[in-house]
Amino acid sequence: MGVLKPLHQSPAVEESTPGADCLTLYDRYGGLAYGLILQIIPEPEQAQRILIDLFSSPQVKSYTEFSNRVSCGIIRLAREKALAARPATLTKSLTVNDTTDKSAFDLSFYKGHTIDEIADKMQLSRAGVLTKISSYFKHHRSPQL
Amino acid sequence: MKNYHYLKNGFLEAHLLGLFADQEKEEVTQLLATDNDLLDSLDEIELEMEEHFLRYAVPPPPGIREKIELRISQTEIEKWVQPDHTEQSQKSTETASKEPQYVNVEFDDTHIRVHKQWKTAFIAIFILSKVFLILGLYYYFKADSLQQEVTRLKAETQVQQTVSPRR
Repeated sequence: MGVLKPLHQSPAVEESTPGADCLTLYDRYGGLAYGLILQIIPEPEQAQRILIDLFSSPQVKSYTEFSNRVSCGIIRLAREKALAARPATLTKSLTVNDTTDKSAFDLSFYKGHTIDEIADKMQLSRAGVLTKISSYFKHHRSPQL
Repeated sequence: MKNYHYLKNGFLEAHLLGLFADQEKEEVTQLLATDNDLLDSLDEIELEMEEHFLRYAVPPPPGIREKIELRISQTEIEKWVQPDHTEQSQKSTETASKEPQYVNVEFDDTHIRVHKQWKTAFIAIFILSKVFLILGLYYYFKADSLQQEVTRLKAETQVQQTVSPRR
């Protein structure tokens, strides 16, 4: 599909389609962000709205200017936007069923609870929760790599 | 030792995932600015995280890319129009009031976008046109047959009139 382009811009702007960099990022990280948003909000329509909002946001545009840490920037932003748009029904109180590494990661990343809250509920120290999150990644990275 | 503590206890992971409050974020950022080893570790962890989240990636449905493209274009146009508008209003209100303000845009598309309610309207118009066509044909042929009947009756009357004077 085509786009509407304002005329009489500066030559630097006219050279590229507006948002081409954001679309490149979408092509690369769209699936990653959509999967992550769906984990937080399991409603496809709302998740798609957040995805559109994410990749058309000025923050993503700022990531195009720096080559480093783009993926983590998008991961953080997708999480922030999804948690902010999460319906009230999903923002339940903190319930801890187990104290596994995955549980610590899920509660902090996908559910949006603070490290202190999780530490309190799991009866662990702050450092203990952070170690669990780190171990979760180490556990996941080692068998597949 | 402090760096080791940061590396060992998942501070870098939490920092990359945005799990820290502003104060801790500042602390880690300051530490990263002075330690190249930590920065290298951060790069490694970032790659691992990207791989981790890519395992759970879900391809977005088709059409999302176009919607993002459209949203970006709209934002670009709004950005372009707003400063220009304020500039003009500051310059003079007399010229602005005389001339209508248009946004010059280049339309790079072979498609027309219409509201989806038009789909129902087009279907209704199509069905109505077919109904009227059928009705038109029906009444045309009916009128034609009636016309033939009238002609036939006229011919019969004329024949009767020509026969009756002879009697």
